[in-house]
Amino acid sequence: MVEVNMEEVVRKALEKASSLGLEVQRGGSFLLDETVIFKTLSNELRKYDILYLDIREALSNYRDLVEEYSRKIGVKISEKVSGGVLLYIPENVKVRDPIFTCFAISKPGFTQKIANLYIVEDGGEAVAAKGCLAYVWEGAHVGLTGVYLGKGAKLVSVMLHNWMPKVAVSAYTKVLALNDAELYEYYINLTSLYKIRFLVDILLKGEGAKAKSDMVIIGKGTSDMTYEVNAKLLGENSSAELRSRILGRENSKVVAKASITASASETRGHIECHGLLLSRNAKIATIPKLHSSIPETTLTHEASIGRISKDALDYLIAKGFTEEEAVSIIVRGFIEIGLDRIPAKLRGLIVKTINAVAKSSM
Amino acid sequence: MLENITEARLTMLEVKELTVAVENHIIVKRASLRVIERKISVLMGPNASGKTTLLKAIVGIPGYEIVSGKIFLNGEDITNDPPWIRARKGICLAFQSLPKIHVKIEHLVKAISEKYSSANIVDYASEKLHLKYLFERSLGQGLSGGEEKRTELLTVVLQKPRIALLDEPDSGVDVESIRIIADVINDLVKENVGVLLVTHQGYILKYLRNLNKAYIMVSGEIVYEGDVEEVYNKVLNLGYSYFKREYGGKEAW
Repeated sequence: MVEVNMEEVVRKALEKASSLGLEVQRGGSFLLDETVIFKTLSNELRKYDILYLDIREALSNYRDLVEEYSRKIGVKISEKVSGGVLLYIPENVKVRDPIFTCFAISKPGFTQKIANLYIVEDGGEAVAAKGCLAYVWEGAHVGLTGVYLGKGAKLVSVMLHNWMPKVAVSAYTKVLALNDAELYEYYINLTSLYKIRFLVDILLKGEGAKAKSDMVIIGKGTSDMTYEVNAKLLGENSSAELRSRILGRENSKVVAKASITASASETRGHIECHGLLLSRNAKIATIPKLHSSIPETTLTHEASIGRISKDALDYLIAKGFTEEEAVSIIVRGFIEIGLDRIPAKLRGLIVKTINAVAKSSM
Repeated sequence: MLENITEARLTMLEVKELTVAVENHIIVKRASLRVIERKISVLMGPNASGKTTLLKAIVGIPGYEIVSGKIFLNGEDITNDPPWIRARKGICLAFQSLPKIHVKIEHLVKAISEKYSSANIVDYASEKLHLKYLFERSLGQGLSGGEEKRTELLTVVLQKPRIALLDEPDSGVDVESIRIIADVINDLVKENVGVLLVTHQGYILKYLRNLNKAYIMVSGEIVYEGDVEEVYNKVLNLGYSYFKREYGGKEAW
């Protein structure tokens, strides 16, 4: 019989989260496999009528709320989950400090099923920092996230993935944004994994609703990665900007799909997908799609896949950098998108992450 | 005689009989020149005469193969040193145009200043070159001619060079920027740097001090050298065709 030293597991888990810049102990929650290790902030936030709860607790105590908003968004939150969070921001309440939520797999072969619900009522604001990690070689993570943004609501969501080579991930996020709501999503992954299927559907239902998404996808090892972000411009004057930077290293395979569908007038959409291949064995596919059934819209896309140009390398080598250092500088520049959109308190975490990615390209 | 001895003593960079090939084609033929401490040497010539190829070969960029000849830095043979070693020994090149890469100027400046321990002069140099407002922009993307040249000159200053090879820092640049660029080149010279300046039009020369010697390159050969003022006046009045006709090689001009 193997006796698990839970204290040790928790200590290591927290250390790892902290080393990635996920300061869960300062404000947020940590789910290890299916156990909530701790949650701070919940009591503090209650003073402002904000709910920040484990989703299972929310299903027990606030079932009507969960069901009402799940229905509005169009997702089904099951009770058969390992955990997840409900974040409810009442009308006109603005939380500009990040709330950290961390999901970690520590049991070999464990399948972690997560359901999250983020509700930001009219005029509310929130910043969600999410980290998903594994400490063991193999496992699975299945995530469902529903996001409701009321009129004029704002949500910034920053997500960091740090998996292990035999972890499989399936994540689905659905967003409903009403009039003048604003969503900004930032995603970056650091490590290789077995397989990921990552899908985001954004419904910009309200007039003037806006969504921006920046994804930094690092293909490493033998990772098999498919990402898809779809935005539907349903409200007049709504807009979406979907950008991605994909790095193809080693034997990885990355498919990045993005689509914008315009169904309302005076809408705008832009897709930008750029891939950089650093290995002969890596594969990248970028698939931007634009659809419109009406003429009063402006939809554009730009896409490219290439390797580092000789001109760029020559330039940096002549400045005194070795080839490895030059590659690192170019990679860092390539993956640096969205920093100006990330709240200052999370920028350090992302800078640290992209520096680590660039350094590992050397 | 005395002048020659002094020049030899102060020579920082000596290019001796250098022949350079790119993709197996000889571009530069037996080129020889000297760059002197605290002086500006000038290399002039028509388009595609091999000036940029010569500079790239001096800094050692891959693909610019030295077929024969030698490069000496303060008497040390650096012909076979890799480019980053040459750079760290003090030879730097201001490129004619910047590569189109997604690297913020701020990060490039930081990386160079860390490598050459020049962080203490970033503010001063970038203000002098009127560049601070550009730091958030990416290299070579959407910069005007003047902005590109000033950015490139900033990287040179931050490398704290002993030899600065400046490839057309004045082309496509407005008058104000030319004055700023010339001012910074004069400052480099004051700091004991030897400069080799490539220029087409030569307009910048009237703002520069400590000019030494001008070389004329046509069809890959240095065909003439002389006092800067004399050479420049000949270029203006007679054109490069004069040098080709009077001193050049056998190729059709």
